[in-house]
Amino acid sequence: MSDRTTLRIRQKMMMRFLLGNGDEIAPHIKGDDKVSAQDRLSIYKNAYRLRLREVIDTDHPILGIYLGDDLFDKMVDGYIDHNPSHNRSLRQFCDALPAYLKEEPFFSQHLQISELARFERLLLSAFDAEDRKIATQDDLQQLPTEEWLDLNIRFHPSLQIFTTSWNVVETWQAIKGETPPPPPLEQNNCWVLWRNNERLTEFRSITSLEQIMLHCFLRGDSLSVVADQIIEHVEEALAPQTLLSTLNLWLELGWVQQLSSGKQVTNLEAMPNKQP
Amino acid sequence: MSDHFLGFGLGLRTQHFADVLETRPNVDWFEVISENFMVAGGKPKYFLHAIREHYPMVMHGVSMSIGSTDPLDIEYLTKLKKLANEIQPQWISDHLCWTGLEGINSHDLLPMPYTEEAIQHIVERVQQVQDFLGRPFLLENVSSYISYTESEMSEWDFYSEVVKRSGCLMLLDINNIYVSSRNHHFNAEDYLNSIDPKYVRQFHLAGHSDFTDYVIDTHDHDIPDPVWELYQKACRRFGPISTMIERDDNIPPLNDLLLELEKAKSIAQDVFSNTHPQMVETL
Ligand SMILES: [Fe+2]
Repeated sequence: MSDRTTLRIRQKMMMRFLLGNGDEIAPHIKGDDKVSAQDRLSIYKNAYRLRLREVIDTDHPILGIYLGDDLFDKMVDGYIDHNPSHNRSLRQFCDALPAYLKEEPFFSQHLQISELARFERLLLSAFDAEDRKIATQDDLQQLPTEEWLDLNIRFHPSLQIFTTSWNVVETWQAIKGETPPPPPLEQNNCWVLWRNNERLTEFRSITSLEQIMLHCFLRGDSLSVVADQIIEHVEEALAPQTLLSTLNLWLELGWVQQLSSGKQVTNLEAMPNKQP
Repeated sequence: MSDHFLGFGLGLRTQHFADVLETRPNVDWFEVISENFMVAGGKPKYFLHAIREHYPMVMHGVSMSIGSTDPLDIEYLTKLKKLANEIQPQWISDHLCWTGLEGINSHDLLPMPYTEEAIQHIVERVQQVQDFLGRPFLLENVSSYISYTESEMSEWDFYSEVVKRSGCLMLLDINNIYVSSRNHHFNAEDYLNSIDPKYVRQFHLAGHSDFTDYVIDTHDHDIPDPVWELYQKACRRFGPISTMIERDDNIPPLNDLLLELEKAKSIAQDVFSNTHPQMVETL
């Protein structure tokens, strides 16, 4: 529709008003002796901010408690002004919150805040990621021995890797357990978040060896390449056993959707779970 | 009697997922908010599909923005169509309003000016949407707190004209009619009486917050008496229309909503015992 139609002009005015950028719309709204045009418009402006605030609150409950009311308000006001919603779904509204907290002059002085927000977003990503069947330890056993060295792994879509230099998962856990959070501490940690078989989101911290293995498998390395990589970190004699037990653990946790050896894909379907 | 009468339904809400699946309550059908299920997978989709196996469903959207002067969002419509293919709803609905502009979403149902220009704009878009979705499409009247000085007609004339010219159907929200009648000082019965029954496919019932000088459509309370009274009048005028309760906030246990739904059923039964006696036996 042309930019000059009355409808488009009016809608532009209304959006400017909602975003707090001007009230040229007011003369085009009817008021009466009970409720003025301004008051009527305010209902919409308040609802706009309140709705977005609720989304931040729902998506980031632990961050909200960590910050306390005043800082939470400061964050909410800043974020709403800085990041109008560009997505039809409110599910994505806070996607840019970690980046905002990392850049904003005040919050960027406390980088653990952005990291805590990032952790909560990854929990949400794990929660509603795509459904896929998972591979089991049996599938691994059924793989012919001669194909082991070519083994590739595809991970479940819910798997999220959270590498952080702050103790924010400990902070998250403390607040969740209604205990005082530890003071912010710089420490390198790697966590994996995923959705388990009961569709509940879980996370666990992983060792640096698992981190190396994950990294290699994710970039498409086969088992033989991964084995070469880990030999630098474990005794050569222990490497096969380490690899096998780690793989079995991942399978048990439901991290793996597909094992393949280049020659064949073990029994698993690459298709999403069948929907009725 | 309408071929499309689904009976008495509820809005499917996250808080009730497990309860619905375990107890299979006596609800004839569920309405789902389309946007809540436009995610890849996990719990929401699991419950959606599991519950769909036992109940008819309709899809209700909140962000089509049919009245916006931005181009139609094909990506959104594609997701909507994909979801419809998954759950095979009886129909798809959204609101007679606009929700955003220039790529920014208000996440609110913003009213239209009631002008010929707006009618033409919406009619063209509804036709595109219907062609694309290929399923029955309903537009719902929204609650509003503002009206524009340039409006040339009443809300009901505007709504009727859009529906008549575009060939879509009506989801009449009884609470929204009440709320807007209070905010804009019109008679809610005039609204009902002006609507041609042949277009009406579904009713919404809900609660609101009454601030005396104005009323806000909050969906966080039980349905209040004035809305029940208007519902009774709507039953008289329109006959058996698929009816559901919309509760979006301060969500009570499922049982409370089932009781409210029983009340809707008994109001309708009382009306239909006179007008549609055979019908009442099947309710
Ligand atoms: Fe409604």
